Amino acid sequence: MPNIWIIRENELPAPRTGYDLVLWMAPRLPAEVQVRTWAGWSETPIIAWDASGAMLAFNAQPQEWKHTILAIGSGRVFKFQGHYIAWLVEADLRIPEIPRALAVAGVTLIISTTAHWTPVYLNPLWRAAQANQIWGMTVGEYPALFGPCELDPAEEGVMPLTSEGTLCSVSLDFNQLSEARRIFPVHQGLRANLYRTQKWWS
Amino acid sequence: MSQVSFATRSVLNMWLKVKLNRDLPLPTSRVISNMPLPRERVKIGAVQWDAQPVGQVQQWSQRIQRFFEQAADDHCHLLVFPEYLPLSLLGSIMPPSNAVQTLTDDTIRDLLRSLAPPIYRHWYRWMSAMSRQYRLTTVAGSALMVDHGRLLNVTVTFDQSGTESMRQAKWHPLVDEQRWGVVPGPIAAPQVMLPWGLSSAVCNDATYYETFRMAQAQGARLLAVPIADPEARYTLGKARRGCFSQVQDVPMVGVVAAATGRLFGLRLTGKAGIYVPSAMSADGSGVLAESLHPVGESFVSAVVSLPELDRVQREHRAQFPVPPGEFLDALYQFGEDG
Repeated sequence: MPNIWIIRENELPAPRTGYDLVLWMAPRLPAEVQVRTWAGWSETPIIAWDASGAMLAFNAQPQEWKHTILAIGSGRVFKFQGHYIAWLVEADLRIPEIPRALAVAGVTLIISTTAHWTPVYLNPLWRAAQANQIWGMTVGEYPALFGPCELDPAEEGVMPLTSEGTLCSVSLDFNQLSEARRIFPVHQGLRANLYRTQKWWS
Repeated sequence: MSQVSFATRSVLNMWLKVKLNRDLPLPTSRVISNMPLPRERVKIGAVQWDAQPVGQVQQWSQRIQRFFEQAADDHCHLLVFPEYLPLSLLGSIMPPSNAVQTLTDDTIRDLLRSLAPPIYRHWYRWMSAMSRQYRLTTVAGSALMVDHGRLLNVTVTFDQSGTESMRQAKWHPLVDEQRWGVVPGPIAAPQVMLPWGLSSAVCNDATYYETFRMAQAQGARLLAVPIADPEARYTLGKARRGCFSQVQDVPMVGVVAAATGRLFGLRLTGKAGIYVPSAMSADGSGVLAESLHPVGESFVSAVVSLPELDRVQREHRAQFPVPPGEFLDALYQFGEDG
């Protein structure tokens, strides 16, 4: 169950131990050497990016996963502890085929910097998490974790994050997703035949 | 092997037919004058229905008629009823027991296949007659029917003259429905009714944005979704991941009519509602109308502007275009039907 640290500060804070992955939404893309050095010191993989989608990822993991699905959108996919995690801009989340393709290909966590939507059901990352029964994590000013309603005792699909001052983290159990998919098998109900026959694309 | 004997099924089938034939005579008069359909601003009504089995067929018919009266009084042009609307009629020959928990799946399957035809016929005739009498375009909810030996969950739409205009079988039945013998609807283009671009889908079909994409590709602008959610506890999270979510990403007007209450051991919750892309609602919520409580009966209505929807659709398409063909060809090569 990887422990993920979401950095909310504008600068990299002092490294801490006990985390398996660090995510940092930086105000502007930091110098490569700075992030590389920080990752080395903390011995923790880090993914850093800025609002434009420019991105840096360091350490032995996460390894970037080159996949043809990335031919569209600005997304990038990494393999981390045996799981595929993707980063998407909000505009790509508004096209439901993109998170669907990622989920069908095995991505179980999508990270994005979506705006603070109220109510939460208008957040396209929340919708992607429900439609595909995956985790969705929004980082930046308002970090949040979304998941299938089946995994939330309140059935709202919004999971708690641990927050202490500016420190925000979550332990993510990827294996829980199979329980949600057992209760409500969304992907099992997909009718690829039908969609291919009635294609809405040219 | 059948769990219910042929003789038992025949007796139940006959008894149900007798009960249904004793119902109110079908109306023949037209109580409202012929009005042309508006092309731009459409008033839509959606029904929230208590699915509790009825002891008398007339109770069911009269309750249906009251919703038609209410919609006509409210000057609606389109009225939408919920999924499995006529299943309450089984109460006329069966006690309102916990059949779902006490009978085996095979027994339920046998009973449904045997009793679906007379219930379907009664529902079809009554909804057609009501549509004609009140001059309302009506998405009549859904009912089970046996078609070439297959048990389908079908929604039918009648025009103002009571003539069937389109039908749609449920493409994505729930696991429980499949255990009870309901098979997915056949591969066919979604039907669309002019002039509004009205189409329909059944309940769990709205879990899939693909349903909305297919309908929109055929020219649909309004999608009516009869539902009967077997959720004992209503939560906004689960409710919002269906029609509401899909119309945000595939801009359309979504109309949900919900069956609620206890139906042979199933506990149903849901709200009737009319949902639009958030940009189309004055408060940005994406909700034009919604009933207050997720159980019991209710009726909601709202006016939608189709030119406004067209504008939102154009802007959405420009900003969030459908991915290229090769991308989607690759996406939907992942396998055959689940």
